Amino acid sequence: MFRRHVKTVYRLCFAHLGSATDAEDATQSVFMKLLDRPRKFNDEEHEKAWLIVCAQNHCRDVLKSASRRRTAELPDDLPDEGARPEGDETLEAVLALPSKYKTCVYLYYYEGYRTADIAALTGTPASTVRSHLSEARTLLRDMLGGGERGR
Amino acid sequence: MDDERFRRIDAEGPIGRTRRENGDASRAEAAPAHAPRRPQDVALDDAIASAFDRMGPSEEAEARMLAAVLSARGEHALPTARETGGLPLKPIVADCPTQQRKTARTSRFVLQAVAAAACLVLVAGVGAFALYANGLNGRNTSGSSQSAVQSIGDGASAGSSAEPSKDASTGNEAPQADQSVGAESASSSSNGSAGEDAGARYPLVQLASGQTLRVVLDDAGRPLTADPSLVGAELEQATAFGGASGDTTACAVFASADVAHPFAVRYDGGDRYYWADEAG
Repeated sequence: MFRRHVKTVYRLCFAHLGSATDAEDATQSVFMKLLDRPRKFNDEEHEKAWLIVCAQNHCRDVLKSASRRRTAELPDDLPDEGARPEGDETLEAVLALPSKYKTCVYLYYYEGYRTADIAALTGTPASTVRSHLSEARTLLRDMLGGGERGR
Repeated sequence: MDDERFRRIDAEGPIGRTRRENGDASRAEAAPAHAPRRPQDVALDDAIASAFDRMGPSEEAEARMLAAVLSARGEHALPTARETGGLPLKPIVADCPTQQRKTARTSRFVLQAVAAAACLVLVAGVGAFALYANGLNGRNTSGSSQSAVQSIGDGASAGSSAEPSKDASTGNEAPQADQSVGAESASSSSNGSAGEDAGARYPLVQLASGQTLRVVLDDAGRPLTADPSLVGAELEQATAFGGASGDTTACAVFASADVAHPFAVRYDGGDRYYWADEAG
């Protein structure tokens, strides 16, 4: 089960939290939650949907608590294993999206879910999903220079 | 915004194929037909998907996360790259060596406990069987002693008749008495033969109080003759029984000065005393 969904959960956590280290911690926490309280799933898709929602909620909690906490500045010379490759504008643009768009964007553009499926999965109305996708697309186009530049 | 735009799945390009593999292929194939997209839209979609693709974990990160999750649960993961279509048939975890040893010890302990319990049950069963057999032997001994007594009594009567000189005074009388008593008893189905062989044939004596006495037998199974000097006063007249045919005969019960045997019995028509004890 871990190997089936770890990439999905990790990518979603990375998209929300913006760093590999935080994404690793969050991914571990999500799977630990499932192991601590095992539950029965109807099928693999049900399992995946649960993990996606759990990861999204966990990332929101992390961001909320991180915004309240005053974290100390790390030394500049400390190597960062989760450093993002420099010059990856698309990646930076996606990470810069508002958090409320990220799950929809990920599920739509990468996982291939339909808007109706995303709405059912996240518990938001389909119209809201469509508007989120539209607004995210507009933001990305603006950030990436009108969509002319791809990667 | 055109809703159709958000209902299609990319069917071109490597990213689209990757997404179809990661997502539900049936879902992708079931997507309704859409209006042709602008090249810049296609490029943007591909760019977004590609960005997410680059967010994926490395092999080391995956192994690290798995190890961290399992170590938190006290388990260790087996390193494996086997995945049957992304659906492992069973969890790819195994007990750590310590837990394997613990499991082996527990299994051995359980086996030993089961074996010990089985031995105890067997011993208890053998003991119970021995007690039961002992009880049976006791009853069989009394029955066999009765038959032995009867046979000895038969032999005694034959012997007494064959050796009249030994028991001249009593032997002559005894057979006659036996004969007389036997004649009397023969006429009565309830009374058996009396005299010298009565003790052999009727080893049990029923007292008026309901108590039952048993004539003591020696090692050879013959009635143990009492020492007349130790025989005390007569206690009562009683009925002796014990024959296979259910016959009875009259007898007298006496007190005894013998420490081992509290009673003595003399059968009517006979002059010998036999030690008797309370029947169990």
